[in-house]
Amino acid sequence: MPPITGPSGGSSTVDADPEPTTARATTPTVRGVLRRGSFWTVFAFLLLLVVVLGVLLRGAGGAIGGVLEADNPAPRGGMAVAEVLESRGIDVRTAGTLEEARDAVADAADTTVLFYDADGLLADDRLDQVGDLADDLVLVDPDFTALAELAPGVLLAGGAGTDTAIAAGCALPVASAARTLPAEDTGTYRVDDATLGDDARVDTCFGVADEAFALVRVESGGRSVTVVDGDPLLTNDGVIERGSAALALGLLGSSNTLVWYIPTLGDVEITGPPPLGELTPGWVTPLILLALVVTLAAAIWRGRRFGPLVIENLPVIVRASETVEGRARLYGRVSARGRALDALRIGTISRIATALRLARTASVDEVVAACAAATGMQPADVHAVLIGELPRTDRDLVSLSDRLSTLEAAVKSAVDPTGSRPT
Amino acid sequence: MTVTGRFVVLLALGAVPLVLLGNDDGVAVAVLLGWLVLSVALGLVDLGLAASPRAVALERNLPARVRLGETATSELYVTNHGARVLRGRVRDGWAPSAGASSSRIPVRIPPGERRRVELQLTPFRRGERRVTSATVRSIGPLGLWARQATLLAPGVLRVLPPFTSRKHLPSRIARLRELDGRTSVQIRGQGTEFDSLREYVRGDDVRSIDWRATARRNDVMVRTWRPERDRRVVVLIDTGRTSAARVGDEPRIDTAFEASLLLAALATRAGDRVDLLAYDRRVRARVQGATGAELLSRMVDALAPIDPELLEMDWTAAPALVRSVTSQRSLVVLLTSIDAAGSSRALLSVLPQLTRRHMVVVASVTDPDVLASTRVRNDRETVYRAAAAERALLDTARVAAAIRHLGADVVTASPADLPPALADRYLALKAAGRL
Repeated sequence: MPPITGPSGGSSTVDADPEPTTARATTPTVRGVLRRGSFWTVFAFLLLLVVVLGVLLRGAGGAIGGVLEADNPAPRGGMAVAEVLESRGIDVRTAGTLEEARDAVADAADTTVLFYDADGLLADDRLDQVGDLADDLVLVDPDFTALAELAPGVLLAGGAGTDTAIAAGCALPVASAARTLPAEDTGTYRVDDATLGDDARVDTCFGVADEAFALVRVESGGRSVTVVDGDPLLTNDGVIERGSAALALGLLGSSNTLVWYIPTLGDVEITGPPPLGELTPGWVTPLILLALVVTLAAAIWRGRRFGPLVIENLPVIVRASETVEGRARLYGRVSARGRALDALRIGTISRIATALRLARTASVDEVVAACAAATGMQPADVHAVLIGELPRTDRDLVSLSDRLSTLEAAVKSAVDPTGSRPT
Repeated sequence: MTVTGRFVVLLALGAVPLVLLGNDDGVAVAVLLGWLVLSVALGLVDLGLAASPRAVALERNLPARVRLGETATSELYVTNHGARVLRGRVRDGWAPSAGASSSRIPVRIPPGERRRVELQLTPFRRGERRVTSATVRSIGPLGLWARQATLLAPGVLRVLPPFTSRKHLPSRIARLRELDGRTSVQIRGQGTEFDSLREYVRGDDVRSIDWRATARRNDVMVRTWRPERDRRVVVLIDTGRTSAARVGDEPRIDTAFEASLLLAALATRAGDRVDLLAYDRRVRARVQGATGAELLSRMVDALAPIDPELLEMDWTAAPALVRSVTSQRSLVVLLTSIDAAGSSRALLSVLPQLTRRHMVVVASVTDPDVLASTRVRNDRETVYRAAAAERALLDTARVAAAIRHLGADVVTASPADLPPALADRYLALKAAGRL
């Protein structure tokens, strides 16, 4: 950098470089933007904080989590029952796949498995294995396939069809402890003795009507399978109704370990060709992301304005001939043939009068006479063109205007055959 | 702040390591993130090293005025008061109609030094063309990111009416000279002034022989005359609503400016005093008491920023305005438009007051398109158009006749022909000694 100031050491010399006066900028500085936007920044931050706190306090309610899941505090979740069981010293283990469920079962003899597969995700062979998980199986709201595999002989019997409470009406201790169940929305089951195994012992409780029961327990070979409708029996909002809580705790709390098994997509076996995602190399998705970022950068590069827009007042453009055009369209729209022809005739007559050097005060008849004399036409014809004829159609109008032009040209050539005099 | 094309290319180059290394999902994501972080970090470093666009002083050097259609050079001196070398571009924020040659100029200014940024301005609209600011974009040494600031640097360039009709001036001045020294037979009139005596040549009117002078000398002497001098010419330009309409390629007001400039140039050469007024409901411009070259420069300067107001011209104030300029008999030129009896009624009502004292000429632009469309009569539509055009011409003719009836003179011509036509009328009036 070349030295700008005066010789060094000369402390008494006046500084040669005056205070640089830079131009005033209209672009706000980053600091200025931050300061001006500080209120909104703080406001947005507080808003975010309130939202986050609200979500945390409300317990992420709503649609988070599925029906009857052990960690779902929503009205249709199953957290209440799971929590109560845990507080009673029962080891509640959740499982999302069959493998997890199998790992969770430590001691088959002292384990209850809650199986709830609302979406029917498990295939037949896997359903079969569910039956072997533990000695005590609680089938919650099973579908036809699950019933056929795990509890042969138990069939679906539809809704309870009544609003009154259902009494236990059986010797099963858990049922009689519960005494009554609410009947609303409860599914029922019936037993088909023909398909039931020979050694099976069946307990039917909470009968509604002709052979339909809200709870069916089949015991055979030391294993028991309990079929029950879990919603609203086990849900957070339904479990407090009548004897639901007692029944739920009795059914699920009979062993030291409870495996809460709700199948997920992990239970679905993958069939068919491998998906596209496995065939593509790993860099494809990042490359697409990179392309997005590059597009964004290019948009900033091209779109960033080089300074503010310059404002300019532009004049209004009005053509002077607009009025003529407008009047012509008006004539055309109402077919004002007479008026239009009058204008043409007056113009022609005045030009002819000028060409024939008639006085400005000359009457039309004088013009006609002079015109006929100059061109050698019959005065009657000239009169018809200049005054007499009335146009009845647009065709008449056009032809008359042509004859006017012809007449005018004839007069001009008669007056000045060489055409040298400008008109 | 902004990014450059180089930064975009740098980002896009990230595809190369991504494809080469990223067969595995995790590695690919890591490479992508790494590349993005690297690019942005380079950009931030670049931004930090860029010179401040605010530590810049601007100074303008502009010509005050330029004629429409000509080119002026705008100079902007950019001084870098910062500590780093300023690389980047400067954009001078001229309005579009200033016709700047290029608006983004690359600069490289070492600290403490000054550079000139030059622009060629070819304005395509009359009036005041303004610039309020210049924008400096300072690019970092790597050319990736840039800082930007808009700095105030006001300037104004007055674009004068083009006065294209000055090409008619030499021939009219020659005609003016011909008027000088003529004998009275050719130009005899009330107002012509005695100029000098000269010897008789064949062809001179014997009536102009001055017998007394002939007796004093041995030769036959004739009197010669010259056009009167020191007359007053008052030009009143209508800047109201009707002057905004375009005839041909220019608004009526521009044609009026051209005509008044040519008339003023001619009249001041002829020794007359010219005063100019532009009026609609208030006086938009007034040029009084100037002569010669100063008159023209003051006129173009006064007329340059005037645009038509969308108001009806207030003709009732015109007599008082003319009286405020002069109480002498003078030639009053009204540059307006005479279209239809209705819109010209106000003008017709005040004309008698003016014609009583002054010689009045009303000059108006006619539309050559209208005249041309009276001759095209091919089908129904064009016949109606021709009829409407004839009607418009008749209206104009009627208003012109009414003006003549009130004792004023009328000059109508197409935009290109109006200035010389008005000048010719002035010469004719002068020759006839009617001023």
